[in-house]
Amino acid sequence: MVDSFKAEVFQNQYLQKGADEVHAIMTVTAMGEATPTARASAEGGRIFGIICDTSGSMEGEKLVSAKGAMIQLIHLLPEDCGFFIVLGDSEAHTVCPLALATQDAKVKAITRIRDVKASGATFISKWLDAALEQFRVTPNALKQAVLLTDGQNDKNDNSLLQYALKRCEGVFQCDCRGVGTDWKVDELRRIANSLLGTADIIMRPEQIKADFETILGKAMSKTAGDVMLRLWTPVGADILFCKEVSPQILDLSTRFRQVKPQVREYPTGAWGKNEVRDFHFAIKVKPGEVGDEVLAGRASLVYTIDQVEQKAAEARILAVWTDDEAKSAKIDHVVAHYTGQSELAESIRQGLEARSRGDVDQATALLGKAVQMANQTGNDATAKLLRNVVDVQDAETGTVKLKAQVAKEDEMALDTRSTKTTRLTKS
Amino acid sequence: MASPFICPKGHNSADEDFCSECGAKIQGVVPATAAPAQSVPSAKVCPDCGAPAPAAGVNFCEICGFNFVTNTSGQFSVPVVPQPIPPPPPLPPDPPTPPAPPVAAPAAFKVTVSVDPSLRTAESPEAPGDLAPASYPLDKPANLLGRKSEARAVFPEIPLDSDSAVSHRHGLISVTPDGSLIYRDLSSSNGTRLNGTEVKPLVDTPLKAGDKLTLGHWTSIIVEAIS
Repeated sequence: MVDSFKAEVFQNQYLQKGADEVHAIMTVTAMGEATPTARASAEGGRIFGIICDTSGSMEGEKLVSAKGAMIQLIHLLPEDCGFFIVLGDSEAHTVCPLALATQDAKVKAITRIRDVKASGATFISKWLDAALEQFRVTPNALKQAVLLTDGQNDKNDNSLLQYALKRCEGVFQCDCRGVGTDWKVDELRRIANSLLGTADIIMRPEQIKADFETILGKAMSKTAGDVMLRLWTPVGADILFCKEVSPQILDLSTRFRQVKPQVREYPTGAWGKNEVRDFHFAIKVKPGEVGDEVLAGRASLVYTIDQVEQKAAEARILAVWTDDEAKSAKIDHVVAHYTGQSELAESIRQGLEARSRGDVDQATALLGKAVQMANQTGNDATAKLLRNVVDVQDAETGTVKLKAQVAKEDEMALDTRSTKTTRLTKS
Repeated sequence: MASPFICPKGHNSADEDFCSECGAKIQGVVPATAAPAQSVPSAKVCPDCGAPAPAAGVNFCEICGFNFVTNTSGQFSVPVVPQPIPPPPPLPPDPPTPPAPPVAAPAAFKVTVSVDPSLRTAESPEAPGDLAPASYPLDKPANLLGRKSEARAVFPEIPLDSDSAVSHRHGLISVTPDGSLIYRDLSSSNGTRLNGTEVKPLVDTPLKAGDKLTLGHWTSIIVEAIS
């Protein structure tokens, strides 16, 4: 049997007497060859949904670029892939219902897109529900989508959006993109997190095309859909958190399905060949006596083929109590690395928040700390984004000064991309 | 749901390595269906891992290496001066003294160890041609298969010293109170096959007369009843 996933655990299992918190990083690799799940996707097919904002604010260059990007995306769709297009304003318009991406269907879709005019408001809940309706047609397919918007959701739609997200969660995955600077980072990130996708800014309309191409390429590389991360913990244990920490930070803690009293399943969405992700678990266990060894967690990946559950890549998280402080004081360097990356993201989020409140001291301190951590952990991408917002005087000590003038898109880029993490290079 | 494993805290576990209830490490795996575990409260158990204590005269726990002489734990950590243990008693299965542990009666089984050159792999060294088959009675509750090590104070009941691919503590043949046999591979480096099928490490498998264990480069062990 060829295992479809491989898991590796990094942790210091030694705890000092009385300690009860176990931290571990699990690295999961989807194996390249003979992925049994490839079969699953071939059976159910794959569907790519395009959800695009055509509200009044899109008028002009943004709509022209978005149309161009959609047309290119349609051209690039493989013929065996199903697709649909939902254009959204105060209502959702399914201009192309689900169809295979044949030449005919592509031509038809493109003609319909060309005529579209921008008008109306932004009611994202309706767009998502329209997409959901399309995805429901083929329950076994690998279901992915992209959502493009340029504005924030209408106030009257916010509570409806919550419910729509609940309905869509676990049905399809969606990458979210905001074009320009009139949209809300928090809002888009919430949608992307719920739908296990990425959120990002597209600063200028002409960049939509390239970005869509990347998203489609990534979506088409996925071979395994609806993979769940299953975590067993002993009776009386408490899962403090469960986060994906690489390639981006995605807190899954509240997203579990309780399978059995001691077993939870967290969604991880679709996986591509050779894809690598890291997960961080923190589990609170009953403290043991010195010398005790217990299993604090058993993690595995679960997916379904032909309605038969498959389990792969089982990993064990241990806890061993010792009175040897040299053993228990050590922090595993992988755990330390990702703890740092999470802190980095949190400092940026809070720092930007303080900055918009006008709390200069707090913002300077937090963003300075972020600069320092980005520098220490070699997260160059984030360090570069930080330099757009602060003047770095000394990266090592985190001495910075807030820039007086910051472009709105730079601030938003830093905010949305701060959750991207770096991996440790194998030593 | 009856489950085959019992953890040190007494839970039924669905998993063989750690308790599926409380996470405690399961060692000295005893199938729940066999031999009521608490029926011999007087029997000594290893304080570290809870496995049944070895017979009198054996100083180390077969499972975790707990040292009963110095009462210290640890696999190979304590380099104590080993008290040499007399080699397994000679062939006549007539025990001169009644053994202390609950298992009585003369050995009902023996194993015959022989060299089977056909088991060699390409990387194996040449099999020794001059080793005659040797028989050992299974006259203890637990009979260790392995290579003798003075340094680690490992003195197996069934010594397999000539095969370098056999682990020092390779496997254990236990005689249960009802007289049946159980084999357990002690997480050996190269594993054990029972009648050609690889056995899971640290999992108990029943043995019967006629069964053949193969391990190391070329070692073949046949279980026979003593009539």
